[in-house]
Amino acid sequence: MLMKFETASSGHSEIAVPESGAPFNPVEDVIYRRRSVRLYKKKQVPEYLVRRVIEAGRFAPSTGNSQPWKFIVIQDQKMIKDMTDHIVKSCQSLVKMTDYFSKPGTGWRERIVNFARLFWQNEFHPNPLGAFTQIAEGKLGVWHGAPTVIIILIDQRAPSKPLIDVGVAGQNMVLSAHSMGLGTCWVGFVEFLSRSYKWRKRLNIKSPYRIANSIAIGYPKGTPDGYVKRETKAIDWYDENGQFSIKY
Amino acid sequence: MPEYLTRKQKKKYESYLNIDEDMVMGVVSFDYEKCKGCRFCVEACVSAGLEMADKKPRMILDRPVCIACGDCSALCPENAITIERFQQFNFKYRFLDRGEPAMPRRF
Ligand SMILES: Cc1cc2nc3c(=O)[nH]c(=O)nc-3n(C[C@H](O)[C@H](O)[C@H](O)COP(=O)(O)O)c2cc1C
Ligand code: SF4
Ligand code: SF4
Repeated sequence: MLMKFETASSGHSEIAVPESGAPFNPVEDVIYRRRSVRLYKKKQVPEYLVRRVIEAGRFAPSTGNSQPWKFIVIQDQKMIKDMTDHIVKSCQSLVKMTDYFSKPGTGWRERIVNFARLFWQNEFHPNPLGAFTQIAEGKLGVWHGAPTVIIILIDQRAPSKPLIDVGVAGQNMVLSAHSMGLGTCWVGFVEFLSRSYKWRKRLNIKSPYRIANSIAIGYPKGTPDGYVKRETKAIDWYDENGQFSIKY
Repeated sequence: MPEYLTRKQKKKYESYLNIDEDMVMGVVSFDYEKCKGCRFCVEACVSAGLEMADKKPRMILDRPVCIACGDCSALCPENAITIERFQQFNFKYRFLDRGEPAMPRRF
């Protein structure tokens, strides 16, 4: 089956349904090759490219076409550094309470964490806890030296689950950026800013907006994109004959 | 071997709360024949889990941190890194429904 459509800029493109086992098409290839980039060149990303990336987010699907997003673009290096400093400081005060695996014999920290997990099961997952420690000790960057940061806000009045909507928009942006030779990394630690009155004021974030996540964008050093192994997941499959099977 | 919990087991949440397994983090291995010591992997590691020793990278062992993202292996210009072990958490954070890790597959 061949579908023809006209694009605004480049005339006709063709979309063909592949045979089984056919090579990946360019969109698939960008999806599979995209790796989070944590090593950037200093060179700033020009405005037109950032706008082109955000345009991809603007056309993401959203619940009831609610488009519950707002973007803040930060290319001011001083500001990125200040935000990083704030997040490092927040991590430092947080790990005083929570860093139970690197300080053996401090059972009370583990008890605090386990108690907190009753309310914030995801926030106190061992994985982010480890990252807090690394950031607090200055071993892990926040935006990894990327020259441009896009903060994604959600409109909390949106229908259903706006966090999913902005997630979809953000991934649209990330994929389009990688298709143009840029590198990106999602950075969730930006949430620390939304807990700070000073930063809410500085960034002018008022209700109904709330910080959801952020994306670092820049030119990658080296060629970080490439295939990696990921675990396969069990898929519950009910086929046409009503047969149930588990596929991987 | 892929591990899979049946729907019945899933309902009995208690039954896998008790699975007694430590948190194991990822492990990567280096092919030092190929490695040119460019440091890219060390600088890019998401969990700051690598360090240089004798101009070659190695894992920092005193704290388990690797999330087995493979970003170092994708970045390495010499293709010298392979993921040896994937992460697994204990208790209620245990990964479920896992199969064998695989590269992108063309169905
Ligand atoms: C919502 C979200 C938040 C993330 N936050 C961070 C972050 O704060 N810092 C970071 O280095 N990576 C962050 N990541 C990137 C993940 O670590 C990365 O996607 C994962 O390790 C898989 O590696 P890959 O993106 O190279 O495939 C985030 C990813 C997502 C989807
Ligand atoms: S990126 Fe590859 S070549 Fe460079 S130091 Fe790491 S393992 Fe060696
Ligand atoms: S797999 Fe990811 S976390 Fe592990 S050493 Fe490589 S870059 Fe670091």
